[in-house]
Amino acid sequence: MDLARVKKLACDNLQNAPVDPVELRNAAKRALLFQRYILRRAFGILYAISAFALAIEIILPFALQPFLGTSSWFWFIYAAAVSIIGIMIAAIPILILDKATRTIALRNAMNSQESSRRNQWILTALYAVFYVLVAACFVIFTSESFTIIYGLLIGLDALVIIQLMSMFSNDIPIEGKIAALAFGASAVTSFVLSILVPTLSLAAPWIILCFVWLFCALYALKKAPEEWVEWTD
Amino acid sequence: MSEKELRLQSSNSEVLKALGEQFNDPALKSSTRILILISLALNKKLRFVDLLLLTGLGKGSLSNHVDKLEAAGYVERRFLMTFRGPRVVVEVTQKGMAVYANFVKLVGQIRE
Repeated sequence: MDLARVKKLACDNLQNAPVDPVELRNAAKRALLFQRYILRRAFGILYAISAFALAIEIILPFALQPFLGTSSWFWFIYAAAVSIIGIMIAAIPILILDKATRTIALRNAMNSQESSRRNQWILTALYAVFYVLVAACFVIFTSESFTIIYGLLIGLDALVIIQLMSMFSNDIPIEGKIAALAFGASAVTSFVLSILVPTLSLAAPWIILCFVWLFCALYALKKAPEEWVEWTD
Repeated sequence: MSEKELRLQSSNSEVLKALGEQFNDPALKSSTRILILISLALNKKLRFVDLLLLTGLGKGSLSNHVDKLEAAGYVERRFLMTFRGPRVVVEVTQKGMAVYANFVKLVGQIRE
């Protein structure tokens, strides 16, 4: 049944009806479009904080080594610092997931599809499992854990891409693609290198990633409002 | 009119009636206020400047809409201290979320 007829029905059947179904659907559609701006901005903040956290993780060993050498205390303090940073970063995608879950539920309701709320909670659970595994690797395996962690990071990148695809209806913003690809490339490079040359610890891919994420953050925060204004004009 | 179409008409009529009852409150007799409520329900809270961007309205006009929603108990206005000075944040209430939850149930039943 087309909307014009539904509208006519509204007038015929509900003489005092305050509701215009066309306007209701349009309001919901506009709110959904606006969510792209909100989520893009939220991801922009996530990229910025991730870049900052990664920079600290790279710098921290160099800062600790003169005082602690490579003793077990060094690994303990480093693992604790990385875990705290990891938990802080983990909280942001979970907060974004909360907004995204409601957005996807409305989008699905508009398209008469079943809600994928369960899928979003599976993603959240997978994030939690990932962070527990990384923390466990540091505590149990210490210096030998890097290959496993790089392997886990490749899995995390796949999770991020799935999350981005579901949030942006398969139309991932350009900075999202760049951030996810750069993260994946760094993880794969480090994973392969840690197998081929176990004694080599290469910071270069991660330093490059810091700058890429910083660029993505600035791009997202600048372009998100511009895109919204372009759409509404 | 076929039997299927009649059934669909009846179904849509019920949906519209339910929507009519839901949005019978004068505070919700505006598509702008419904838009604000939907967006707030999706994000729990939004800055006033975000609502300006969302609606494309002027400050005074938007403030009037938020006043009406606040008076009806759908939203709450709060002041947040930031590094760049105080900012107004509008937050959806339980009552607002309840309206939104019903809206989500019903909006999918209006077919395009």
